Amino acid sequence: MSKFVALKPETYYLTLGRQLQTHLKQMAMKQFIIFILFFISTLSSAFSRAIQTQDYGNVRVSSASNYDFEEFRKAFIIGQLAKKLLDELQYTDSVYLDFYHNHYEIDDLPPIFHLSIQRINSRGRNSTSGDEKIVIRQYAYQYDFEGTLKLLEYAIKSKVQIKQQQTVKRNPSAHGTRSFLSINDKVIQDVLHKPSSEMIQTTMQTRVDRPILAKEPPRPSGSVNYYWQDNDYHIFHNTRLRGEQEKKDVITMTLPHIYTFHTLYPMTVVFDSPASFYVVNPRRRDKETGAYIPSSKQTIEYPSKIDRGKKIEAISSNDISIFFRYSYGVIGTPFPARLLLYFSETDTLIQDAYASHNIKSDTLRSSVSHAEIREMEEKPTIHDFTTWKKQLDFIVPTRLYKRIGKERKQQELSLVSYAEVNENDSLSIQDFQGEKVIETIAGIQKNIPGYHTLRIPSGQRGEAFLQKKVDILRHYQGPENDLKLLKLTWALDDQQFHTYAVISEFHDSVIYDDIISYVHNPAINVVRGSFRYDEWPLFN
Amino acid sequence: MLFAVPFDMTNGHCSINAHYKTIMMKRLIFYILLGLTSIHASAHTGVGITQDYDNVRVHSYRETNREDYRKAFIIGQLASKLAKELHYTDPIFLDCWLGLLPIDSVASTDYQISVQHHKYWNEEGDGSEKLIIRQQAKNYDVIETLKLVEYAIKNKKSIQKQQQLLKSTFFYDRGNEKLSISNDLIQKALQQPHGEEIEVLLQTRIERPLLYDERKPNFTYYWQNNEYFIFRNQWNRQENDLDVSVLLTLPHIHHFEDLGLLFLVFDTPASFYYLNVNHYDKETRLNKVSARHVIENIGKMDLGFKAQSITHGDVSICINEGMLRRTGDPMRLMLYFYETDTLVQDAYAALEINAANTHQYIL
Repeated sequence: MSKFVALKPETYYLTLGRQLQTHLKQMAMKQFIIFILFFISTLSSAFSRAIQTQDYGNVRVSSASNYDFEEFRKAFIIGQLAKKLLDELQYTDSVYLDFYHNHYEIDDLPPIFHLSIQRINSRGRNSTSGDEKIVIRQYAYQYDFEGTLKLLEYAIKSKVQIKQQQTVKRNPSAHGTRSFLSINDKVIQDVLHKPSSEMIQTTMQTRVDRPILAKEPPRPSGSVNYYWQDNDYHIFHNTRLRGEQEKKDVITMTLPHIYTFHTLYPMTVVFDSPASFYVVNPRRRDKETGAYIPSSKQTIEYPSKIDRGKKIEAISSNDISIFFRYSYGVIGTPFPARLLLYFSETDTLIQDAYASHNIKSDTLRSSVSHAEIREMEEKPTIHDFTTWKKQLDFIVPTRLYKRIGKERKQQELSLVSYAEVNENDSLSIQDFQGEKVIETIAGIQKNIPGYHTLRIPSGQRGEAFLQKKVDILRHYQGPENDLKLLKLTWALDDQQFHTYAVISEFHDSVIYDDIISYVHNPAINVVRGSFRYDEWPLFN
Repeated sequence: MLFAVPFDMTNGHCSINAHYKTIMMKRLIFYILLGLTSIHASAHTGVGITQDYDNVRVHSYRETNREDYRKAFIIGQLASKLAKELHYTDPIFLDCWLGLLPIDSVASTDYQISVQHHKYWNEEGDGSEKLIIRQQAKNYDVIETLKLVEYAIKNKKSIQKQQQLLKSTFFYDRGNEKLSISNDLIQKALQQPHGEEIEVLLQTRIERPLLYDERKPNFTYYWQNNEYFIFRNQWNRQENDLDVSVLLTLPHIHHFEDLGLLFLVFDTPASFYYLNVNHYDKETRLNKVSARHVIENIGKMDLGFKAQSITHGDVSICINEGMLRRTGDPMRLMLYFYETDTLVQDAYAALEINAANTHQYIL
């Protein structure tokens, strides 16, 4: 058991700092290198998210997801419903709906909404030009259709009020901190808990067919598809039933949710949850009418707690393979794999094709059962970086490597303490404002031991990086006197030294630091994201 | 240059226009029907493609996806080189039809040779005079085809004199007449030993031709002296650089299945090797080649199969899958597990799946 380490995808680097360092010390160097390679590949896949925008009149919808789940497409259903509502309300100004899918099923993480009236550019970022738009952002495992419409209706009726109340709202999520201009959560929750208006109820009766994504070929007529209506998904195919004259949409089944939808000629596989699915095979029909009959509901036993997508293929005109890996395993090797086979003629699901064929391999089957593997999988911890204190408290010890001749010496950098500067300190907040700031920063950097071991960008890139930080300090326009200077005490192995950080009390966030920007550690990278400089335009 | 032809247009002889119009019409209907039945078939798509190599145009037609379909273009490149050696610059048309024949049959190739005015689909006017070599084969024979090209180039005038309308033995000609010299003359030409030019040409390395919308595959092969040399197509390899590390040498490739990172190389309809981009020897960095896996009780006809990458390395192979399969014909599902190099001959039987159209192969 001890050689197993729980690895949490995107966010497992959140806890890497403290948790993983203990493990790494026990590992052989070779294994560590393999792990690093794997880690890089995990990160790269984690961040290769798909983003697509579609316009419906004055509504622009942006949908983003790390994996190919149906929720990505549902954002565009909501977009069409929003357009319908706008038409009813005769609202002609622009609306921007921004969706980011959280693929972790976490019970205590409800959808996160941000609602603002602001100018944004085509990528959804703050802009100083263009028309003001209603901007509704949603981060959720399952998007809230009705809730989005409620917020939209509220925004149309309360634009002035929203503009007065909105400020940067930070919410912890499984993908770092969500920081956007918004009214506060209490107002949002009040709107969501109110009963829907008649207009929204009417809008919810609208039929919306499964949206077609950009570059997707149009579906052949008669193929299995679904439409959404009143929070139900109706799987249908357009056909002329025996004894009838006209073609019509014949509903095969109705589901309250669609998790993924796979068109595999000639079959269609519909997952209604991460672990259960139906198969529609055109060969399985009602003898009298000719309507398709779906398979029974098939359930995958002990699925992964963290679904990062499954490879689902038609292996014949009647049969399907389903493949996935658990998010848990031996570091440096592929994680345990599951291969399931579904045979539609007998409506049979083989839960473990490797076991059935006695295929034994460390990378496919481990001695640990699927039930045990699933138990050991850990969902991401949601880290709260919504205050500057929480941000700094998460700065974990990190390793720096120093080359002495041919040897590579390892040093540990840790944040010992932080405190607001007092009158006796040589620097004050004024030193970080106006023209003095560059001189101040240069002076601090000079006194950082092992400064050269930090990966500070050099040349033009380094200058641009520094300039960005300096610009934020120079042009900061928060409430008067809300900036505070902190003195940070660090230890590089046993040697102590100081750096400084500027925090905004009003925004409750670090807005400048001397050293954290240059430390590359997975956990620190994440916390840095919470006070990332990209957030800066939102303050203005 | 590469052109997809919707139907064959090789019958344009000015003097017998009306007769050919009827044939063309019949053929058009045949192709439309054939096309309709193969719209969604992955394993069985009646497809004809042409490629040009200087003055040589090759038309290659297939029903099932067999590598000989592509071999026609290797022959085209060799024929072009041969024509150059013989200083022949007039158009040559190689019209290659891959027959659908029982696996065990030992059918000899049918050839037709003529010199006639023939209009390519993208050619203006009535079409120029061309040297036409047609063949319908189970497997294309490089040496035989080159011999006939050499013979035709050297005997163009006598071919013009001796050619006549003969009832075609090609399946696809459906008993219609085609202009050709007699089969006796063709057989005589084939029995002659080939010349030095051909001998030299056989040493040429020709890389697996790519078709119109194909990307550079991860594995490929080159042909040389009637052998196939399979190698890893490294991303930084220069075009036409065939100084490569050969992973496998085969006397014949029946089918070359490209599944992205995984490849199945069938040397016969019933045996294959497996290659995986990510499966390589850590010391030599050379990709591993699986054991040769033999498919038991393959059946009489090769109607194609559907191969699918089902994991990051494992493969399913469904035999008798596709539009040519008659309703009620048994399907057979095989599974190949790469980590243990295991082939499950009949997954339906192994998993006790007893359905109407499955599990009829008793091994």
